[in-house]
Amino acid sequence: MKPTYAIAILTTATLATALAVVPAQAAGEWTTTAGAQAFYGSYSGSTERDAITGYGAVVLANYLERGGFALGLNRTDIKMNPGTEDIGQNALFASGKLNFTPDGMAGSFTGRFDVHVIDNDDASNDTDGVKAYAPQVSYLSHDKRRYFDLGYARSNYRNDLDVNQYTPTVGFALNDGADWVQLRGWFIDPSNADRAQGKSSTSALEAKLTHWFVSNKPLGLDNVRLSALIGERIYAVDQDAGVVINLADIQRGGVSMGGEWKFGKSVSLLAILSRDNYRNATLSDDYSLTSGYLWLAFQW
Amino acid sequence: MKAWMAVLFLMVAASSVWADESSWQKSYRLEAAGKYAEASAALDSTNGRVDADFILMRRGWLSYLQGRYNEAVNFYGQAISRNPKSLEARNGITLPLLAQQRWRETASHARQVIGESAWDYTAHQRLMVAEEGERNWKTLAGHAAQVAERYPTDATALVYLARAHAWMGNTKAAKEAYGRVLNRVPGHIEATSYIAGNP
Repeated sequence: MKPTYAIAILTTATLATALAVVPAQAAGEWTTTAGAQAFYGSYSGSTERDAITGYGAVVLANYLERGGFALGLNRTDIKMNPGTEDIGQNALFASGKLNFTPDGMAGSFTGRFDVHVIDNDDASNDTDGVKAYAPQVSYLSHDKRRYFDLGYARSNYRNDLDVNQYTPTVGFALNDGADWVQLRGWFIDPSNADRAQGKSSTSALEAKLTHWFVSNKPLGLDNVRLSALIGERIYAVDQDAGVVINLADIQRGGVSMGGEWKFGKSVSLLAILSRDNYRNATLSDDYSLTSGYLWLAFQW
Repeated sequence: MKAWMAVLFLMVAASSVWADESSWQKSYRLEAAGKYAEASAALDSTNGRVDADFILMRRGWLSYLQGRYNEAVNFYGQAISRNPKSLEARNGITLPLLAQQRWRETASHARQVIGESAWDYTAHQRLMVAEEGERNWKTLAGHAAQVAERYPTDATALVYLARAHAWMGNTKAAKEAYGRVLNRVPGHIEATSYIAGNP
């Protein structure tokens, strides 16, 4: 039986939010956010996997409204069940973006380019040495009520596998901007079905809802988030989270809920609970991952 | 015949006047006629060595009036580069930046003016707009209260103070601020509407 290794790193970071939102009170021309993240997940019903832990750091900087960059480093360790070797992984993420505000349009465009480099000790090399390149063009209306983006990702894996991914996305505000809805289509085409659980293409729809509290904040929360994924996806590059899910198994839906606290003007804490379902077709193994994620950020 | 002579005389006189008008006069005349692009072009023949930053600011203003905001930002930016001490150029650039809703960049320029001239009204007003755009209600409330203290006859700062309190759910404080707006501008639509909606 060929071992199939699952690597899923820090899947629900809110990098997109951090990249996009910078407060007006920032006095300088640069606004910088540095954050630490931690992740723990427990597998249920998996033949191979037992638990996953991760931690990492991300630095994001924006220059006024003109552009910005981000750098991230994550460490992930997967504890396997007896008979299968554990896996340790390091992932490097770099991103740059430029904003354009054309005259005559009621919004601005952003061009963004992400690079991911992953190194792990997967003995099969199937999930090791991954490189992913992910450009994205997005539009946000001035009133911040409408958003769309078109993302593309090209991932190169060892052992004869390349993956093309297309992620058209729309977002819109409700209730005077107190709620934000984002819908993203995931269309992923692995070049080699033998390396992708027999799949030459997968598709999924992801829906996210964020609600901000202006007053009467329950538990002191600044905002709460709900997310759901329906359909199937494999080898996804998540540009919101800034991660490559170099998981050799198929994700078949998932849900998450989270909340964010803000302490003063410069400190925030985000907590997310998730449950995701997976299938390893080779082993006919359906299993789930229940996980928790923390992101502590400092901004200046 | 006399009438024709009179018309001819007036035409010659008018053309003579226009022929003698300076580039600046022509530019102002065209602006007043709403011909902003022509008003900007009229400055081509001005002596660029004199009042170079003023020419750039005026071009920035005329580009702004045409809705050519990126061009306006470029002109004002050049004016700032030529005269970094110009408070007017920094206040000027906030206009196209606000039109593009570039709040942070607006705030950056407004703060630089405030750093030189602590209670420059224009800079504070533009900064309040930026704070509102960023939905930074707590900061806006504190800032607007300070401006209202310095400019007690001004209704604008009180409107921002009221909006900030309203967004934070402080109805009582919002009503009080809107009430003060009505003392200065009786019939103010926004203030009247809020107070009527929150008896």
